[in-house]
Amino acid sequence: MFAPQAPLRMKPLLLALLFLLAGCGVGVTGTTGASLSAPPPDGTYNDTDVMFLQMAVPQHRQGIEMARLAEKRASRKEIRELAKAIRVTQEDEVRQMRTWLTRWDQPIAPDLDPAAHTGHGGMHGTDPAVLQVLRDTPPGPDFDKWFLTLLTGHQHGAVELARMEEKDGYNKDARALAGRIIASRTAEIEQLGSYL
Amino acid sequence: MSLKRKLIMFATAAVIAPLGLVVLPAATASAHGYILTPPSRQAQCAQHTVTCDSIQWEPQSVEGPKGLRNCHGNVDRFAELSNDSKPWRATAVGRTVDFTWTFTARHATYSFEYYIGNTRLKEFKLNNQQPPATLKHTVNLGNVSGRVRVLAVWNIGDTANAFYSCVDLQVSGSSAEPGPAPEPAPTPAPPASGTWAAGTAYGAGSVVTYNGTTYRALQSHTALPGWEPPSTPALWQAV
Repeated sequence: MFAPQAPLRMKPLLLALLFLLAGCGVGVTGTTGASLSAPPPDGTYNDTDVMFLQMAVPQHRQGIEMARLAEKRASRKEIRELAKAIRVTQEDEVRQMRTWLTRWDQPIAPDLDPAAHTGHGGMHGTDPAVLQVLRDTPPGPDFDKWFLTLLTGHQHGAVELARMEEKDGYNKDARALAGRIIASRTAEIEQLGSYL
Repeated sequence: MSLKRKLIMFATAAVIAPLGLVVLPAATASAHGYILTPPSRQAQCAQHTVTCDSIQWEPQSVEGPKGLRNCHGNVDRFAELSNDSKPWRATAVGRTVDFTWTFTARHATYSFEYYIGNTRLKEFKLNNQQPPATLKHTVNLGNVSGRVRVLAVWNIGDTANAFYSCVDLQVSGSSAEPGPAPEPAPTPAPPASGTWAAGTAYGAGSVVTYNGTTYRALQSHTALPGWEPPSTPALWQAV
């Protein structure tokens, strides 16, 4: 049943998932202990690295869109300035992550059905409703408050992803990026909180 | 449950959804959140208002079985949240308080409850709907004054768990809301120089050195850990 729609896209994550399914019969209970951290295909990265980058790219993009709105709409200069710095640094990171995925011959985005994630507000780390709220909020104190609040939650999601990479990732550069993401997002959360 | 395991399960569900074999098990709830304003104890940890252990990295993860009345949800590594002797900052409020939540994921919700001690101040039922991204609860604290500890409980709809968030408040007798915090004085960021240092406000054109290389700031920003000049070409250009 997968064959018609999953020819070249059978990348390690999906393959691993299929093996996981095969291994435990019908459902996935989360207690199989199966690991996706297969040996590095070319000795430089593993599946966690790929999953991290594939999840982080859309996560970053949502943050970039949130920041872009704040650059235009936040009423306080220091918030606009922080938003711009967040946007441009995340744009740098996205370029870097795309470069690695391309070099590893991996798709940029995980090829998953977004409908499977609607139950918890979007794929992990992205939540379309968050972006919509900001788009619908005109400039003013409410915008500032909700931007600060929503970006705080969003950046916690980035830290979660990066911590997964630090724990199970293999690639030296991807792990270093994860370390910088943890450091910078943690500092951003502190700064965002100081403006609330 | 680890994030990775959750991701695997979501990804798995996505892959097999067309087959109609499996729905997400209830135990995969990836709901996470906490009260951001007034700053809850875990918010103060995340913002380093108070020095904390591992909770500072995941203030959204104070998850335990429903029915608890402590601040750490019986999660041992977050036990310090229930330590009333830590220097938690109490926010000055009137008797009516707006509590604002922040989320990393918004799961189907049974209810939100607010307590002082064992007295429930208010319950908000959501009938297993997702909470809105912008969630604010207005709660009347009743006839209290002085320092109080409010416990907020987020009861998840389809698991046995809840998320816990304690907020320290200094309640004045009047019902008036405190005025907005004074706007901090704008910090001018003239071109600075010297060795790059996190926490410094750099104006565009500032020149710094970092590991022996000289960089010029391309735009005004406050330097943060993780934004070191070699890894942020959008902020710093080597000269």
